Amino acid sequence: MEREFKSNHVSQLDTYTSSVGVVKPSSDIGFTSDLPEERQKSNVLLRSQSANCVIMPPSTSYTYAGGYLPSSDKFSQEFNENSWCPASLEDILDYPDNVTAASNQIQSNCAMSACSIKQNELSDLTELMNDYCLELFNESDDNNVQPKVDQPSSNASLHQQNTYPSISSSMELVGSASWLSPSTMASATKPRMRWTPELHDKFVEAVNHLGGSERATPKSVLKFMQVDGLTIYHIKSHLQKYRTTRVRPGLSEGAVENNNNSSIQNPSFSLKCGDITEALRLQVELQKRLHEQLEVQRKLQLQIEEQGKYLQIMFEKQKDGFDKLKAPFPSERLSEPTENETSEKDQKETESVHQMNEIFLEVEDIHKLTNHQSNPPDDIRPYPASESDQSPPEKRKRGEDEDRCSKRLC
Amino acid sequence: MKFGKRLKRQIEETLPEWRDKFLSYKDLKKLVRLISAAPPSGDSAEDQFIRLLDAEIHKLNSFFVEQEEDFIIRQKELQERFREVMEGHGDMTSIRKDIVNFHGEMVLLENYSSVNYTGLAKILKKYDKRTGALLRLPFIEKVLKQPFFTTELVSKLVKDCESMIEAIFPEREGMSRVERKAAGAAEQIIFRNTMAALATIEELRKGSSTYGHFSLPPIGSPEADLLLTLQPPSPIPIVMN
Repeated sequence: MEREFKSNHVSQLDTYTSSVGVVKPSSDIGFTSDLPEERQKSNVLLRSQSANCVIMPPSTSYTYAGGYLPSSDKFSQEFNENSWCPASLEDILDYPDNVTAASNQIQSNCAMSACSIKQNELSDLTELMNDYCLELFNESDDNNVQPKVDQPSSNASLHQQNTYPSISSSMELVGSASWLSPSTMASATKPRMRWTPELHDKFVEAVNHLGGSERATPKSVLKFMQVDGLTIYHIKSHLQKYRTTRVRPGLSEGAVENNNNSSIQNPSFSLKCGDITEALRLQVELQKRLHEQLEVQRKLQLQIEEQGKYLQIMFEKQKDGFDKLKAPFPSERLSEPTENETSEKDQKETESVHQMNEIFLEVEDIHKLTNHQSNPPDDIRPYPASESDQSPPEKRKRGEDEDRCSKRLC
Repeated sequence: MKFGKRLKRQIEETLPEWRDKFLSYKDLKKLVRLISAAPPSGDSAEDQFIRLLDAEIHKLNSFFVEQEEDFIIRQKELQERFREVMEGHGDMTSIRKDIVNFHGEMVLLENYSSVNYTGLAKILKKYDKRTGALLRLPFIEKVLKQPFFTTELVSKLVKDCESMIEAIFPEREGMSRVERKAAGAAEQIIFRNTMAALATIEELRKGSSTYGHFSLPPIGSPEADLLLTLQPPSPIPIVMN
């Protein structure tokens, strides 16, 4: 029983395309993409989601599984638990290592530090950074963003996506109560679900078994299919659609009501069949192109948002790092119970903060950022001079990387 | 051209049944202006805005999921017909036309998804800018997971369709310049809408004066050339004699 709910929950969160109640862990139902990266993506999501999912009580599982917008409190609970999972710092910091060189550049150049920046200005920064990133995109990728190149980064970013640290209160759910509170009334009475080809195949099988679309009744189809969470409403509406499509396959393919078939039946037309084929071909080419463009655009949009989230995290890190640096001397810290982890963490934070600082300075030089950045580079370092002296060679190296990128922008 | 205008044009060109299913961009913009001009007590304004957004998203989702369901059904039917035609008994002309139109509609649904997402992102950005709130980032997270934006299934259907198309259209020697011949009204509308969508994307990618979240890199030249060489079809079907 528990497993069922768990898998329901998982599939729900995963792709929204999984058929309700029919979740086979081994196969990607409803997510049978040919692209390997997508499969990996779904696996990553499944793994991390199942680690964090909440077991829904029996009474709510139906609505939840059936509707893609569960009631707000459930949703926000899920939102809290699944979108912002606690994570180890190592995961976050490992992130840059997992990406390809190109996107690494983009990532590092986009990460902004400066604890002097107030939270309110984050969105502006995000914007600037996004512009920055996109400019780099422009430079590094010629025309089309090759999906394959992005592949490792998308995997890594998704991995990261599911291991966010808990966001501080200022970020958490502005106006929390009403986050995507759906029309709960609507979802309770007429739950929407997402059909998949596999589920539809099952449906067709049932209908055929029961004597065809005209003879089969919703109730019997439902019974035959034996799919958890499927209701008679779903079947009814689906059956109706199915019947309409079957009645006149040609007509339904007209799709747009003002389909004009008469010209095709005109005898003189048959001579011009080749021309029609040409026209159709042209149309398909156009459509294919649009499809490609849309896919590229969507990937970019997703990536942009990834950047935004990454920035947010780095910003939080920055703040935490800065606070921790104000903490007492290392030797004193060792006396704490989780001493090793803490000092390691602090070191890493310091490192990342340094890194961000470097990047920030480069960015500043190039972009001539806004008012609060009026200080010359040296003064911006928030850390005591001793710290900065300790790792000049590293900085030099990182600086070179950034230089290369920044020069391309000039 | 401003997004609002582009959206409007897209809606005009789109399939008739879709016209009222798009994001109410203008209304949302008005609300943002209203809120920023005379801000009521902080929370209620935001709640109101969120409520409207939720309603819009619900509308988008419902429409999208329904269309998706239709596509799943139709695709299966088409596959059966396709098999029949491949085996030799079926009308090649009509199935060609149907498959191409089907393909077109699915791509237009993808476009629908994209356009509405863009609108939402822009509105959220406007809101944040006008009210100084931080609504955009977390909210857009949620949007990304919404059914109307998770278009993987439609994408897969499109690809399946394309492989069918490969099979039913004979080899071609390259893109020749073909005058627009007579086609059914269905093709006209789909074609026009596809053109409009491509034009929109091209514009979006040209590089805006205000660098924003969607200053996507410009499309490579092939697209530009394609668009330049093609004329939008005239509203009056050119009948062949």
